[in-house]
Amino acid sequence: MAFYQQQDDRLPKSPAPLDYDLQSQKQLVAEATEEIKKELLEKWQQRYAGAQIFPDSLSSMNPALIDFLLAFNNTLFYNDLAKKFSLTQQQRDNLPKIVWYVCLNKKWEQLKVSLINDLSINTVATDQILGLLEQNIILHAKELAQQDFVAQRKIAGAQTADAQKQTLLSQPLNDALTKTPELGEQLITSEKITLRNFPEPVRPSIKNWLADYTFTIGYDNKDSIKRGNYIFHSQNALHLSPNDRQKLAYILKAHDDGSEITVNKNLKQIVFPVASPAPTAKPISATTPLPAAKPAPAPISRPQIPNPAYRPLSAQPPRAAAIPRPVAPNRPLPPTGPQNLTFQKPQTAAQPPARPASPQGPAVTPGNVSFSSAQKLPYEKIYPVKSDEVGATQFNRVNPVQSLPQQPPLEARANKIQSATPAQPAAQTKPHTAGPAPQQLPANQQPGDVKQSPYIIRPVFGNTEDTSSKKKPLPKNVVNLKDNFFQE
Amino acid sequence: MATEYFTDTILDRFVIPQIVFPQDTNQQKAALAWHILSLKDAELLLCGALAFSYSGIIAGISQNAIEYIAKNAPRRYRVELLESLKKNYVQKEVFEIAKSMDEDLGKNTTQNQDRIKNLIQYIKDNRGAFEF
Repeated sequence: MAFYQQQDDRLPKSPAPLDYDLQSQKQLVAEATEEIKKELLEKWQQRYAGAQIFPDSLSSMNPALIDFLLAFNNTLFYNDLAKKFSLTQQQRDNLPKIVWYVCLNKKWEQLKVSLINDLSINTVATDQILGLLEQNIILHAKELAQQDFVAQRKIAGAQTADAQKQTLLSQPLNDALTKTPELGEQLITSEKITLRNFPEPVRPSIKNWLADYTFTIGYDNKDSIKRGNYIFHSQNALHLSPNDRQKLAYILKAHDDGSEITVNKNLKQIVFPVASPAPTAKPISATTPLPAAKPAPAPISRPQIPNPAYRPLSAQPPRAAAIPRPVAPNRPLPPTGPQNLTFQKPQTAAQPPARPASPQGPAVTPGNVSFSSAQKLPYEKIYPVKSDEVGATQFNRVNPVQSLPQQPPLEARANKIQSATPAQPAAQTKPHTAGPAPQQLPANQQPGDVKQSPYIIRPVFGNTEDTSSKKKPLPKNVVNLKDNFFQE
Repeated sequence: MATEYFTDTILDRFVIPQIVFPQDTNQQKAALAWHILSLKDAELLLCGALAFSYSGIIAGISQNAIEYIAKNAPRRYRVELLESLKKNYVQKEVFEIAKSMDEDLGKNTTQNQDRIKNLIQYIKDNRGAFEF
């Protein structure tokens, strides 16, 4: 009892189970159902418009006769006959077979013979069944079969054409909407549209589209440019398909100009003109002469951005062997094959000449892909190439095709290092540093005695060992952790 | 959101009733049959030809609906229906569903079982229009 009392106490606190209008909700659902049903049926009819309905064997029959024979009442009639004359199931099943056969082949006289043969019952019963069959089915079937249904179809077609003419009516859009308000509900596009005063998207009906249009442009617009802007650039019309846009343009033009539209009175729908195919680009045939090739535009010279880290080549001593003759930009390039666009592994055997460097940017070299941009990718950045002469550097651009600086094989280099510094402590060797191969010291000269050159920061690239930067002897109270680490 | 949910539900009940309605028991199949029975003639065809291989859907075909199917349905629908009814176990299942429907009605009625008998008989009678 106490439990129920508690529950009763809770009831007022909980929200009312039916705090909405059930009838209106039901009505909304019913309307939505009808709308969906209508759309589905239209789509179904479009899909199966030309579908085969009856087998080919029935093609010679008048469709009206087929429809008559397919009536469900016939089955009930056969059931009654079977009951009345106490026919077996087999005998009852033979009745429609006989009727179909007679009607299909128009052998009306053979009906009695077939009944006698297939039913194998007494003559009196056969005559009664024959009379009932003729009275209910065969007489009407004969009439239908004797009609020239081909001519009938033609007549029906002509009638429908006349009827169509009568049902189609031309009148101004505003008049049509006034006389037939249902026209405003006709959908002209596929996706819902947004009206400014409505929180939710609404049906893309003529009425809603016109509401949006008049809200955006105004009622008495005569400017086709404004209309065109709306059709192509308004928020609702942005994603329209060409066909939908054409329909919208037709409606809006009729609205603005007061031009007449065609209305189907029976269907209460506006009949849109058949959409003309959109002009497509004419395909270029093999025989179409191509336009004359335009002369290649002159290379655009970009202003070079001063890079503080970049030392212009002109400021450095030139090296005749490393700098090839720059190619003039107007000189025709030799034909380049596809192999010139593929990246190859650097070859150590043949080292191509370094690319010319000009203050106006990289010049075009045959066989290399070049870009006019002053910005450089990481692999394009300039790095110093150590020449044979100590201290002479040459700036080169890394080229994927171009090989790295020539080096002896790894084993030879290892042997060379071993033979050069057999007794040196490992702490003084620097196997992992970049730079040229270490210089051989005289036998009586200690590493600390080497005349030290000014320290130059060199970018670490490649595997060249640096000989110029000799190690300074560390103070006695400092442990060289780095070299000890590498030694391990 | 809710509108979309209701729209989808309504749409699915028309297009894929054999999926929307569970069919684990005869009672559930009978529920599908009642739904099919409530549809109008043309609406029955919206569910596609393959739906006519489900016993729950066949059990819901009314006399008017089968006449409409015979006169208007495309070839695939008829072939599917005929092939399904040729199978004995489908016929048996359809009759069980019809019996379950009659039990729902009570009063010892057999109207749904009679309807199914007539349906099968109609297809037998007009086999020439169903066989391609």
